[in-house]
Amino acid sequence: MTPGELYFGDNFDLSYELPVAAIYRNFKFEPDAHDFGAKRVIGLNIPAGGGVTDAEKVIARLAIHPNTARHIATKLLIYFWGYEPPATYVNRAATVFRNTGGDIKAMLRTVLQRAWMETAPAKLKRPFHYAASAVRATFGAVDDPGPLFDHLSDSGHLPYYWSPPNGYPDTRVYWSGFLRNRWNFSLDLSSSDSLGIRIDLDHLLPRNLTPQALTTRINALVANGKLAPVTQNAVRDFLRGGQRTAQRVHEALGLALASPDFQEF
Amino acid sequence: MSKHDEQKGCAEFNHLSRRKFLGLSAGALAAAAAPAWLPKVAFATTADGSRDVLISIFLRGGADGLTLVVPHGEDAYYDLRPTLAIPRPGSGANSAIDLDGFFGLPPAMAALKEAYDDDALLFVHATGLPDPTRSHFSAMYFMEVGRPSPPTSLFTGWLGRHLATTPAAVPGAPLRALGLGYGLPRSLVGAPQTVPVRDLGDVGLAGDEALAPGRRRALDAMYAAATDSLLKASANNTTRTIDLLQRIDFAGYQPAGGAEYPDDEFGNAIKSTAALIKAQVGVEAATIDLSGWDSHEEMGAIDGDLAVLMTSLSRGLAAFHKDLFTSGFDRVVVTVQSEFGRNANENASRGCDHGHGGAMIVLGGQVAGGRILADWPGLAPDKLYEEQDLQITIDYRDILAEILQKRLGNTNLAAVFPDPGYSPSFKGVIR
Repeated sequence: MTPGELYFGDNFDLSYELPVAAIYRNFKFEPDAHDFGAKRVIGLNIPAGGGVTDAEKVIARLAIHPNTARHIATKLLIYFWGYEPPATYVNRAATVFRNTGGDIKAMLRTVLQRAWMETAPAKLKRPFHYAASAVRATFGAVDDPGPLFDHLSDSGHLPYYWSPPNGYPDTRVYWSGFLRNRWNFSLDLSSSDSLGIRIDLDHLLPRNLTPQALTTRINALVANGKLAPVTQNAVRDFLRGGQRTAQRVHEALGLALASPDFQEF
Repeated sequence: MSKHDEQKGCAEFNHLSRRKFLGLSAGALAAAAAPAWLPKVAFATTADGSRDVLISIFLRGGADGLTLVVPHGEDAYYDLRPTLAIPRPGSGANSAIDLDGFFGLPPAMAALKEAYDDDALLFVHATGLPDPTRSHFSAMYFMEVGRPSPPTSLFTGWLGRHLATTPAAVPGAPLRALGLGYGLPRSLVGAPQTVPVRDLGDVGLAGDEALAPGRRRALDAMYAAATDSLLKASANNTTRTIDLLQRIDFAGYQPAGGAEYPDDEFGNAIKSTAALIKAQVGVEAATIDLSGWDSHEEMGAIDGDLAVLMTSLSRGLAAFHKDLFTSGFDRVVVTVQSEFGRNANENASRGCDHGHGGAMIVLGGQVAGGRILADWPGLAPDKLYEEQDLQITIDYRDILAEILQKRLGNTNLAAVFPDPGYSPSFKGVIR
């Protein structure tokens, strides 16, 4: 048997009156729904007549299962390092999990070590990460979270709304579809107040600077000076393309945020 | 797509329905390669014109099937719904419009009678998702994934998998499907060349109109040099999709045959869809979400909230029928479904709680319409599901599977509805 096939009386009170966040805090054991018979689960013999302790035994067993260490190590490495972490890294992080009794902080110290991070390949920002990094890069102040919420909803990445319990996909292919939402977010952020986010552009990008000087500033803001030459040229050409209005300067910043450079991290 | 979302629904629905639970991947799975740009004239010559375009409408909240299609020939209906039942045909004002001597339409859906009489409209009753859940969240998720209690590894939607496993009707079309509304519905996840669009008349890029050419040049230059091939292909597809949709004058669209679309969100969505179909740009499917059907309190089937929703739905569908069928664009099929029906008994608040079986509506040029498709289980106490709901005697997947195979070129239904315990049984939905 796998744990999913067992009938544990462990349940959550799914009363409709509770907001969703509260449902998962309302654990209760329902004896009527529990299989009190003897069972064997993932190599563990559970005698008859147990109760709420049956599931606790299975959870304890799962926690020390080698696959659990490997699974969590892999998830952390995919999240922090890259989509396809080397087996040696996974093994190292899984070993830390086993040796420390599942200390995530200790695992992170291993995963985030400088030597590994320096060789990490680029990942595509997911919509939440993309939006948050754009707001941070521009020192934005969120006055009203509503529009930001709507943007994340439209982009399919509202926190905690992925229904299966495995979390939003962490793959490049899943998130690299229609780019309009990302582009429009950047352009709206930099050149309008429609997102409910305030950024002090007159201070960040004074209009009296030359296109080259503005491009240098935008490059520093958006990519710590590391925008690709093609991107820098595109931004500078846009700034040179006509009268240098505040709108044009602001959209130039938006274009840099919409660039392929800023989609990855 | 309704102002009624948060008034009468249960807490779970209200929580979920803040326009947030629908949103999934903005792009679904990306296009793996960027096909060459096809000028508009190339579409018609390469298109598989024998296929229907599918419009999948989802009534969010659990629409009451016993009001959408009234079983006026069933005495038990009037016992179960002492204040909410639609009166028998011919019993004065507000009485049901008879369809076949046993079922009828509520007055709010009168607009559909013409399409029904034209044999283009089919009602399916006692249908739904064969799963006991009464949770909106679970039922919608299961229904849109296409399987009761799906494994977590299955997160793509039934329509997404249909599109992913069926060659494009128009080779190289930049846009195969779209989700009209807030984010992409789960049913479309996994579909190639598929995007969510809130308003088809507003698909351009943000920013000042005067600067648009410069913005476009900058984006093209930056993404032409993108090192990641997926990102590069996606940028190409995104701009082509925007170009494509901007070529269509949605605001100036003139419906044919004197069709009058209701001036509301659904009316605008279905009208834009008609324009998109007539533009013949290779779109194969569209989804439209309608919210507000969770009528726990003060259901208002005659002149309240439910009547308003049904009026909008039926007028929009009737206009769509008239518009397309009088102009030779009847290679379409529209399906209307909901995550579950409502409890057969009315409650003390003149509403109905979550139920089980419900009704579906199917409209199309090749639909065997003008009738009600049902293996009617009855509403007597011993016939009710869990002693309180209309039973499900037709799996909703049977309806969709037949449409996909017979009208949308699908040859792999097992990929669309992957369930070892299920094999489609066609019910004669298509002529």
